[in-house]
Order: sequence, then C-alpha cells, then structure tokens
Amino acid sequence: MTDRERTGAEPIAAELHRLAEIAAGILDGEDVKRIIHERSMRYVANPDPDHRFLAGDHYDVDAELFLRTKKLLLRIVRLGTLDVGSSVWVPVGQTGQVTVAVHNGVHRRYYTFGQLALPAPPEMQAVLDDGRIRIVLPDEQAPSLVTALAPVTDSLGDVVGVVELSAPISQTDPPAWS
Amino acid sequence: MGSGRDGWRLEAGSEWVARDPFGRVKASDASARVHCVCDESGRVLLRAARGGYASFRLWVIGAGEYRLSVEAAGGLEVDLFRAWYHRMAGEAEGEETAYCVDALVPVGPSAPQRLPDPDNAVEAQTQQEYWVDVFAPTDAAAGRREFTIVLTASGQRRQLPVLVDVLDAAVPDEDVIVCDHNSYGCAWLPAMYPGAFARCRDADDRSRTCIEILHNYHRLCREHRGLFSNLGAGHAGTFDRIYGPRTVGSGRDRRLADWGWFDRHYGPLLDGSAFAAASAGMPPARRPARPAWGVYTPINADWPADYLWWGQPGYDVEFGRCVGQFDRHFRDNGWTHTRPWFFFNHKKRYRWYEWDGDEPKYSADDAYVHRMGRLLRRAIDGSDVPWVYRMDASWQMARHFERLAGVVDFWVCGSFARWWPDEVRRVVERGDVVWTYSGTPGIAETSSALLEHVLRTWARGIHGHCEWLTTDPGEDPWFACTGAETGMLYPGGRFGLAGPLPSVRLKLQRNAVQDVNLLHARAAAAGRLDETRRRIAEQAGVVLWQPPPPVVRALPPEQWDSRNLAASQDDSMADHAELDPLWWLPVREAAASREGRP
Repeated sequence: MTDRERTGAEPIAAELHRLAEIAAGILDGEDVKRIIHERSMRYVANPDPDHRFLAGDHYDVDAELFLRTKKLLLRIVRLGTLDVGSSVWVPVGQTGQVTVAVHNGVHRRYYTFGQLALPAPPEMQAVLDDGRIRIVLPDEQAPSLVTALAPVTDSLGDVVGVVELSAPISQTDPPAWS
Repeated sequence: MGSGRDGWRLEAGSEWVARDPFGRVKASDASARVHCVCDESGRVLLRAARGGYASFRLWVIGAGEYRLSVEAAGGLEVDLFRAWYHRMAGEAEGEETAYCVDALVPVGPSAPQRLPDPDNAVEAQTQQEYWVDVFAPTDAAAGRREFTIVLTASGQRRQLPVLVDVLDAAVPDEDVIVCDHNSYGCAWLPAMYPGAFARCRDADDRSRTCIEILHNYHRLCREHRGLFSNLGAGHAGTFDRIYGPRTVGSGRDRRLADWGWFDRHYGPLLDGSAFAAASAGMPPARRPARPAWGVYTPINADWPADYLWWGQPGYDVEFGRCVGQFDRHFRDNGWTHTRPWFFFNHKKRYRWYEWDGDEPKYSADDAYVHRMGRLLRRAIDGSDVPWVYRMDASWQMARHFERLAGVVDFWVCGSFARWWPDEVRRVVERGDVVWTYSGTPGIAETSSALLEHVLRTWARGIHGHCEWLTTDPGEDPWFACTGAETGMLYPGGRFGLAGPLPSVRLKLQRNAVQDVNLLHARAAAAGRLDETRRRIAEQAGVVLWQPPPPVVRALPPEQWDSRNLAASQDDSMADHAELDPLWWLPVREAAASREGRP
C-alpha cells in the first residue's frame, strides 16, 4: 500500500470505525444467531461433496429476524456519507468457519458469489474472540477496500457474530455483476 | 469433389457432422447412418424455404495459400464462415490434443487464406472447415438455382457446384418458439473486447461501447431466430446506468430521472430499429426489423422502491409511483410491442433477501410474490404495454401453476417440467407464456444434441427455451477450451469485431427453428398440429415427459433436494443426449418436403 493510498484510506477507515461502533451497539445477537434456520446451518456445516447444491437446497431463514437485521444495517450505513457494503457473519457451529447471514450492497471483502462458508479470517476470528472492533486496510486480497469488523453480542455478552462494513477507496459506481 | 492434381480439393458434408483439422469425423458425430449432401457428380444438393437458410459444411484440403469465393449465386445470398478449431484443454500427458469446431469467423470475398491457418495454430493441419449459409430471400421465385464455390490455389481453380431447390414454402417470420440466449450485466465486456474499451476516454465512452456491443449480441441472436436477454440488475439489486434511470427522492417524492442511457440502450430494441443493421462484421440483416420479443427490466426487490421500507406504506408508494413512471415512459415512446419482464433473480441462499424471487423453494414465500404482483398490477393499471410477471420455477412449479395463477403469467421452468404434462398444458391453455431453461451441450458433445431443446419445446406445445448463459465460452476458448457450455456466442474482439461471433451450435439451432416453423405452419393449416407434434417427437425418439421420481410423490417440495431427487433442477441435455448424430435428418426432410403433409 502506497503512502497516497494510505492517506486516502484513513478518512474512510475513520468513518467505518464510527459506523462499526454503532453497529456493535445496536445489532441484537439474539436475533442474529437465529436468522439461519438450525436445520439449514447443519447442512452448511456438513457439505456433501457429491451434492454441492445440497446445502443451498435446504437453505432457509427466519424472515422476520432477517428483515429486521437487514434494515438495521441499511440504516447504519446511511448514517455515513460513503457507499458501504454491509454483512453480518456468524460462526458455523464449532467448525471454525463463518457464513454470511445477511448482506446489503456490492462491496465485500470476504464473500464470493454462491459461497457457503469460509474459514474465519484471522481478523474476524479476533473480533469473535475478544469483541473489539478491527479495521482492515487494503491488501492483496482486496486491494481497493477498507473494512471495519464489529462484534455482535447476545444477551449473555457472548460475541455471536461479526458485522463487516466495507467501502472502496475510490467511490465510483461499482459494476453490478462481477 | 473439385480435386486437383496438386492436392487441393473441396469436400462438402452434412451440417450435423463435424471433423477435426485432420479430416477425422468428431467421435460424438459418428453415425451408422449416411447423410451425403452431394449427388453422384459431386454437386451439392440443398433445399431452402424462402426467407430461410440452408447450410452445409465445406472442407478445403491442401497446403499453402488459397482463396475461396462464390460465383453466380442466382438471386441467393451465400455466406462463408471459417470454422475455428478450439484446442480442448485438459489432455493427459501423451494423449493427442483434441480439437473441436464451433466459433465461426466471417470470410470476406476472396480474402487470402492459408493452410495450416497460422492464427488457429494447429500443428500439421491438413484441412480447413467452412460453414456455408445459403439464404433464399422471401421474394425469390420457387425453383432451382445454381451457384459455384471456387477454390483458387496454386494458380488453379477448383469448382464445387451447388444446386438449391427453393421451395414454395416460406419460413414464417414469427418463430413458433423463442430460443433465448441469456446473459448477465455488462461487466464481462471489457475483458472480452479489450481493444474496443482501450479506446474509451471516459465513463461515457465506456457506456456507449457497452451498448454498441450489446446491440450486436441482440442482432446476431435475432438473425439466428433467437432472442438475446441481458439481465442488468445483480443479486444485490444494483445495475449499471445503461439498464435503467436513477431514482431521486424518497417516499411520496420518489421519482425516476435521467433516462438518457436507458433510452440509448433500449430504445432501438423496443422500436426495432436496432435490427435494421447487422452485427459488426456479419452478413446483412435479412429479417425484418421488429421490436424485441421481450426484455428484462431493472425492477427488483430494491429498485425502484427502497427495500428499507419493505412491508411498510413507503415501499408501496415508491413502487407505485416509479413503476408507473417506468410504464408511462414506455407508452410515451410507443414501446408497446415488447414484453417488459417483471422478474426477480434473487435467491435467499445468496443472503441478500429473505425470500426466493427465483426458483422459490418454500411455499411461505408465495406471499411475497402475491404482494409484488398486486403492486405491479396497480402500478400499470390500464396500460397497453404488454407487461409479464416472469418467474423461473422449479421446486414449487406444479403448485405455483395453481397458487400463483393470475399473478405470474410467464413461466420459465426447470427440467422438473417434464413431470407435469397436464399441469403445463393447463397453464398454456389459460394463455400464460411457458418456457423451459437449461444449460447447453458443450462443443465436444454431439453437434445435434442441442436440437433436442428445439424439438422438445415445440412438441410440448410450449413457447420457448432459455439457455441460461450463452456469452461466456470460458477464459480461453481458443486454445484451452473447456467445452464452452455457457458460450454459444463467442467474443469477436480477438478478430477485431465489436460484437460476437456466431457458432456452429447457433447455426444448427437457427436451422432447426426454421424447420419447426415450417412444420408448425403446415400442420396448423391442415388442422393436425397436435398429431404432428406427437408423431415427429416419437419418430425422432425425443422424450417429452417422464414420471417423477417417487420422492416427488411422497414429500412436499420443501423436502426435496439434489440428493433425494438424484437430479439437478438444471437440465443439461448432455446428460441424456443419446440420439443418433443424424437424428434431425427426418425432421428436416419432413419440414422441407415438397409434399403437403408434414
């Protein structure tokens, strides 16, 4: 990352950090951890190599919890001035993997289209472990994105999810399809 | 045929049988039957209905520089295309490299060619395949016409005479089935057409270039009796500006603005003027310029209404105002012939929305469809724009035919449709549009395999078939081809064209659509349409309907999955294409017969 890019990323990181604090305070972990149906999560956790669409075939969500979380994310990113993609990631049981429960927009650091789950990236795992916000600057994997990761906690104080807020350094129209 | 002592010669053969660059018949095209397109004297014999094409494959055999030309076409129009030998990826060590033809490069009159072709770079190539299209204009008089294909090489001329029997029958301009070539957005264009985009100075140039190239895809498909469909909105609900206007304001003040790019893109498709010209580098447009059969619109769950207000009054107000404006824009411009598609492509498995707009799996999602349908009907009330609510149906198809009657009126059905003959028939009878969808057989498969879709669609009495992706032949379709199952249309950028190249598959499909047009017209005129459909399908050996697996009878669709069905909902014909490579021949003979009975 060049000095110029770093200078461009700093104000974006600052704004994303502010939004991440709001997300951490507002999102309800009791909702978030129940968005994906338990049965669907079992299929996500145990993919069948002979039937690659099986987990998708059984994917279902609690519509009310999904919609409430989606709308909260929409409201949070509109508190800022940037074009921000927002996602909520949740752990896939005890597999060490995470999966998206809800997302908005097109900017994202981790999700690839159709992806079922992925090993928790170290920075996301760190948020799950200690409940502190992390900023991720552009890197090889996402050379044009700045990302904030915020914890989502439940009523017991456990971190049960992570909000990803990602924004491009260059705020131009992204392609709809990639 | 047309051979010379110096080794140059011309050979002609069936449109359904390909060869490799060394003259061997493609393994999957080898048939126990014989289809010779020539008479005993070596003259090619063709039959062409007026307003239609007849085709054959031509092989130039020899070594060195040569030219190919057509002489005295006698009122017919003849196009030559050089077939590209796609080097197939993935051969094992020690295994011979495999080549399959598919992409077709237009050849200018008497343009110099060379064997082996240095561009195609096939080592020790001994012959070059050409595709020959012969078009009989609608005003051509019935009767025999003759022309000659001339090979000039080593200072010698070799001639291949072609006799064309122009039929009284004319291919109806309106196709009885729609062969749909689907695609997504325009983000793929810069990589496929780097030369065209390198000349762009700014975003406006890039948008203009996208539109120009996309128009050429539309043109190429239309000329080949197909439809090009290009969905602008991605799963997140966003789209590039060429696909729709902007929204301004919110709630009661929400409105659409800036139609410039949309009009530039869609105006010529909706008034038909785009089709007056040919795709870049292609032979002239020969079909009348008419508005496109149908188009995707940018409408989705998050546009033009803001999904933040879903389930609340603001969503309904924004939707009603903006979709109403969208409809009024069509009416104001006189765009009342093309069907705009109200369509949702999102699936909950992709995590943007809590309901399936595409291939709904759960009946609980029906409420969303009903709500969207009500909003649409309210917004376009009294409009003469032929809106349709398109749903791509699979799991719940049979139930949805009943539960969503009057809401959805354009069904694009997965392969599960084969289980529901009576249900499909009822939906057709009530006036809904019914298509099926699937993948496309790859280029190593039997050349005629993709015609199964054509015959099945027509014989089932439904209206069309969508090949779900036809613009992506792979990362390197030229020298490391993986089969091009998603790419019947090849990027012409490599050949300096700002538009696509046709393929053998596209040509075969066009000729087959002509055939079913002719069969349909004759059978309908004779009052024997149902009987003819049934008989032709039976004779061809194409299975139209099948009983569902037991799990379908035993469990609700919510509990079906790809494991217990042991079948994907995406029907790839390659999986069960066991027809003889020449299976279409009797269909052709019936379609192009001089006798009255099809």
